Amino acid sequence: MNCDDCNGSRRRFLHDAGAAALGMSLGGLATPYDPLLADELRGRNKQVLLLWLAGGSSQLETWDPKPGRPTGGPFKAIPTVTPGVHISELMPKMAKIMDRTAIVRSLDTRIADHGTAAELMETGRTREPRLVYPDLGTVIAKELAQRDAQVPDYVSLYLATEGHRRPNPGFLGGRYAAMHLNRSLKPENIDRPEGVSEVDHADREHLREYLSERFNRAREATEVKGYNSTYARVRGLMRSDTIFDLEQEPAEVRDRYGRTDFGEHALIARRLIEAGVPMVKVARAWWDSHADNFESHRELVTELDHVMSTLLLDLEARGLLSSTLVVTLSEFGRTPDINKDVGRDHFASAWSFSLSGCGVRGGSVHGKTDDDGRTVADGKAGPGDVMATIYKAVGVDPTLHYEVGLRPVPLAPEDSAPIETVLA
Amino acid sequence: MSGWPLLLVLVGGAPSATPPPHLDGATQVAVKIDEFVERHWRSIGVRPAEPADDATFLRRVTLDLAGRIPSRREAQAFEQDTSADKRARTVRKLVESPEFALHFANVFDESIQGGRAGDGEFLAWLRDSLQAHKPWDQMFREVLLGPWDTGDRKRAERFLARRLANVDELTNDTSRAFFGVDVTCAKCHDHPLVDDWKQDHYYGLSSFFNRTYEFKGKDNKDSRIGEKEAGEIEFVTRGGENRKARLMFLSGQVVEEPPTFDDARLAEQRERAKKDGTYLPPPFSRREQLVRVALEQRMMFSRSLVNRLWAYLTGRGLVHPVDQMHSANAPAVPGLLEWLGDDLADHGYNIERLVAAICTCRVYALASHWPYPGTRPAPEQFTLAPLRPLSPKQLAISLVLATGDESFDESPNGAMEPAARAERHRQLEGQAGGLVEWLDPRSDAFQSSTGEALFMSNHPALQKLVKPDGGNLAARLAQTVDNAQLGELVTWTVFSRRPVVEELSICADWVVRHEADRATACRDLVWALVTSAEFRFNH
Amino acid sequence: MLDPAQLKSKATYPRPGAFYSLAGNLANRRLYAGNSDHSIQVFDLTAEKKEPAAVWTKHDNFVSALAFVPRPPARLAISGSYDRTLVWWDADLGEVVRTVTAHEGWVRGLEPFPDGCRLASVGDDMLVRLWETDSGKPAGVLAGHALHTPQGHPTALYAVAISPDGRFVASGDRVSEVRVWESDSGKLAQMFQVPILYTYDPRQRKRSIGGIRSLTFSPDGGRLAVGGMGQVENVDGMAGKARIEIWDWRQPTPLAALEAEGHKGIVNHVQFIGNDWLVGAGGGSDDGFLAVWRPDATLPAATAATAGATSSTEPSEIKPLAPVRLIKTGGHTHRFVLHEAAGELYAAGHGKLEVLGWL
Repeated sequence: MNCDDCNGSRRRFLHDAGAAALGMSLGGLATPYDPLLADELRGRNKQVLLLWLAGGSSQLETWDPKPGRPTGGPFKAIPTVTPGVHISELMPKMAKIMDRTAIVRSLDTRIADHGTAAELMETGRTREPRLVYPDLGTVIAKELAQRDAQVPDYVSLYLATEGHRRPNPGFLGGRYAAMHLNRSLKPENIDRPEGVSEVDHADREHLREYLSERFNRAREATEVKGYNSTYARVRGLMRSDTIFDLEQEPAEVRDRYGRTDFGEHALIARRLIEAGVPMVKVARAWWDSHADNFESHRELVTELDHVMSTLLLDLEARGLLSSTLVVTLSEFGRTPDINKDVGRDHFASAWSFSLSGCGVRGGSVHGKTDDDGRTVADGKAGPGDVMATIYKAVGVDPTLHYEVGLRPVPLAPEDSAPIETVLA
Repeated sequence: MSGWPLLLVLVGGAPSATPPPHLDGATQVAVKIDEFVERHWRSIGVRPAEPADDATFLRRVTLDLAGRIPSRREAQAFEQDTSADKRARTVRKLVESPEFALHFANVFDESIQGGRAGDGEFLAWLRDSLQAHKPWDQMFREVLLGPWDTGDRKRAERFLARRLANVDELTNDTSRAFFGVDVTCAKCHDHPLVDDWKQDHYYGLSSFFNRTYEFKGKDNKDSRIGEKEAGEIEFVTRGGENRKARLMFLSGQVVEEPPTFDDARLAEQRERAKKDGTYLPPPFSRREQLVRVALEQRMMFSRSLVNRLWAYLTGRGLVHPVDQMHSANAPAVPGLLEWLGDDLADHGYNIERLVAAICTCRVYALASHWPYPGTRPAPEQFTLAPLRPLSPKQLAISLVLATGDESFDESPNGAMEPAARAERHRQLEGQAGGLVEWLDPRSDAFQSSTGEALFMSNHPALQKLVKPDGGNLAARLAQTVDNAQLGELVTWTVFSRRPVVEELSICADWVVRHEADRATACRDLVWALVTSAEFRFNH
Repeated sequence: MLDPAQLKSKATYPRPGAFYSLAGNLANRRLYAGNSDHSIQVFDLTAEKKEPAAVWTKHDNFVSALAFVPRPPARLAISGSYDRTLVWWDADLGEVVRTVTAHEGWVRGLEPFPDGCRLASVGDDMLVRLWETDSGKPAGVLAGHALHTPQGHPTALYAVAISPDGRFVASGDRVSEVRVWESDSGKLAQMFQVPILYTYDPRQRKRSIGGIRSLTFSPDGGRLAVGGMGQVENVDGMAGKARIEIWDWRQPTPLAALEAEGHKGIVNHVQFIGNDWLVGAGGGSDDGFLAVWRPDATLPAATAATAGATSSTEPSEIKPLAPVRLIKTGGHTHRFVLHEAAGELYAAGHGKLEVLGWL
């Protein structure tokens, strides 16, 4: 065997290895996240942006205020652009654009401890001992990911320590595992190591791939194909680190989102959505106001109002909102009764979440709680219904089944259903 | 094994002598396994793949029993060994090696502790137990009953101690780890699929644990796991009926509790213990009864271990999944699990003997590529060896070993004392420690993540291993002038086998193309091999 | 003479909701208590029954501040609320005399001047506003507290106090800044920070808690007692040490730190009794409490203001003093009123009004 044959086979599998290699051979000039180009190439695909309000945000200080009631607290309700729909006075900016957003006020999810409830709301069901369910994000990443994507399928930001959770791909395995940022906004292991040139980095990957494919010739094992495909994505992922670089945004935009952590993370989320990342999860921790609830929520909800409205309007201005579903969700809500520390405690019997954008009937409200917010009066919904609604909004069939061993596992639990009121 | 002198082994500071395990009859057991399996193949009309070649076998069994790839020296020596029974001898050598205890402690840790694996104390107890060739029933007893009077012995208590707060967790985990049964569903209703498990069984098993608690003693000085004298479980059936649980093992066997009667002496002891704040064991221990009944019944206990070891070594349990052993889930090979279960129990629950037997049987030694036309066979036929991903620890240690300087098995006169071997293995573990967290864990239906790929591609720790430095592999390659020799060296070291001609060309071409910087070329050659699929999987 | 060892509960008036404010006409033993249910409840302590003698409704939100101001022949009660208004009441008839939109934000505190001619209110527009008691007309605005926290979040101006000679007004905010103003000229006389009383957690929970919740001048006017909660590890709870600091505000220098060892919570109200005793009330992890301290009687006398002086003693160097008496009030206590002559103290908070005494 001589050099030419070797080079020939290398060229051949360069061609076969798909867009990853192709992108590289263009000398890295292709900007895969040019939105117009992306649109042209594949049409705008659906995406999900989950704002995870970690710690339990209070429905009474956000989407379901009860002014004047003993449980209502000092914040009033304000009208929104949708007649008949009122939200907390702490959200005046959202009130002005409520026609992009739908609220569900009737969640009854029973579980009120952080870890179990978070897992419940992430997966739509309670944990089973032998079956580890993937979180919502992993499912969305799998269902909405693009084959030749140059960007991560699923990016998750949780940059606080309290209540930190890493998305769990469960039985869907590592293929759609989130790129998870916890300690800094710089994704881990994204920079070429010192002493390894761009050419060497690419060359050795080609050799690795070639050897791996030789090995698999006699086996055709899916594990090996999966293993190789993760390496094929490395180059694209390495280039995606510019998406996390806020210096790329004009100062005006950065100021608009606000220079708070949450504001910056929301801006990064918008950049990720713009770049085509199908699933983005941004956590804003930590809402667990057992003490001084009113003062805490004044701080947190004011920020949420500003960041969320800025984000929705920005997505809309860039033509992204109609294809992006933006969800706000916590692991539970907060008690209507005020405790001895002027706080509200965990409460999962009657609470709210919101949906905006893709597939959503803006301005709609599903469900009611009683006058004091203690129970659901109408339209009870559970964690499975939340999942089903989110899937349906972005065109994923919630009754789809995955085969896990011999067992068919539906995306959303069998006894759940999409909440049609809030869907377009 | 009779007639072998006792070897004085100093391991982990234990002063007593530990004789080698009794592997008598392992070969005969392997023959028996082959009988069952071949009979089964004939009855369903399938044929197996070819046997794996020598290099593949050595790599597989070294990974499975020592938790690492073979060294270059080991791989080459094995190829040169012309004796007919070299495979069987290698299996025995590995089972008898201290590396077996070090590695298999991890295997047992995952199997017993599940999500709570990694507790240093419990792992150390596992290692020492395996090192001392402790039989499985004794390990079971020590985990559930103790004694836990010394510092060393108390380590076994960790399984119970971590689960004291939740009797359901304790019940479920014990049942899965030792009896191969997951009864969680049966808590709320009779198991929907399986007639065997009713609510009675769930609460019956729970009843063996419900009196177990943490005794604190006066001023928390005498903290230990204790058992109360009284306490019943009551539950509500799906039909709404209130029922008191009986002490019932999963087999349906009920344990009658002796009636309590007022004993003046006992009453006095209770008073005194209460006053002094000391622990008084109950006259009747439910947990003790569980151990007794489980060992008497022996079927579930022994088959569960057989199944788990079979699953670990061949990639799939005879009953699959391994914690669904019940009447509606028949083992894949008729009669084999039952026979091996009896054999294990009849031979003192000797773990090493069973492991050696499985590693000597035909199924274990099959190749992983299917030579016949048509689709690959169903895994439950055991006609083809599966690809099994290395665990993060296996992969990390193997990375360090493959890229290193061969001091691992450097020995002045060829042989190495077990203590030295254990020490070298521990050194590898130490060097590999920082890599483990980045590597994808093993699971059914393994999938790799971009997290691992990014780590291997870009993290400095990995670059450090593959860069030429001192006497490491990349450095020695860079110094190898002859490209054919270079190709041989790297293939033997990383893949533990002889390269084929095409591979020698690939390596030579690679080096020639990067001639300007041979060091870099060798670095990247090593990188490509250790990140390739052949290295990543046990095949 | 205060004998703190004798302080004990004498009567309890359980009520729904939470009282945030309290004022008293001590002469005829009437108390005015502002509630989270938006009402002002008038209690006649001479009466047998435990229900209020009258309930005034006008406000649209929590009644966060109350003052009783005799303006012979009239008797006025003035209330401040989260509804941003101040309401003047005829205290005897319970009728509204006037309503003034006072702040662009919640009214948090209200104090009358000693001569009764003016009032000072503080609100979340971060302003101290002065008012003519008789006309309700504005009599001055004191601005300077920052409009946002350093992280850019909403802030609050919680506490206001007036020196016994009426010459100075002090205000304390959420980010633990204290400002002292000349009440006639509006000039800033002094300002200082008590950072230990404000916790912002940038790493674990990304949220803040605390603030200067209470302020009071010593009778000799030279000291300011500042109340709140010490640093907390976990901002989810009122789990920091209940803490009061006494400052020589003119220097400004901290003179003493008062804590209740092992007692966690926030101090909502403080008041001196004479120059030697200090009473604080609050609530938190250990339930509501009332505590009495005896700060060192040999505290240096108030000195003349030193222009441009800054804090010269690190507060952390001062060893905190424990109270001589601490009572658990069984509910978060927001405010109290002292009736020294009668040896009584009236405390209002979650779920009740309580009468305590030491004679």
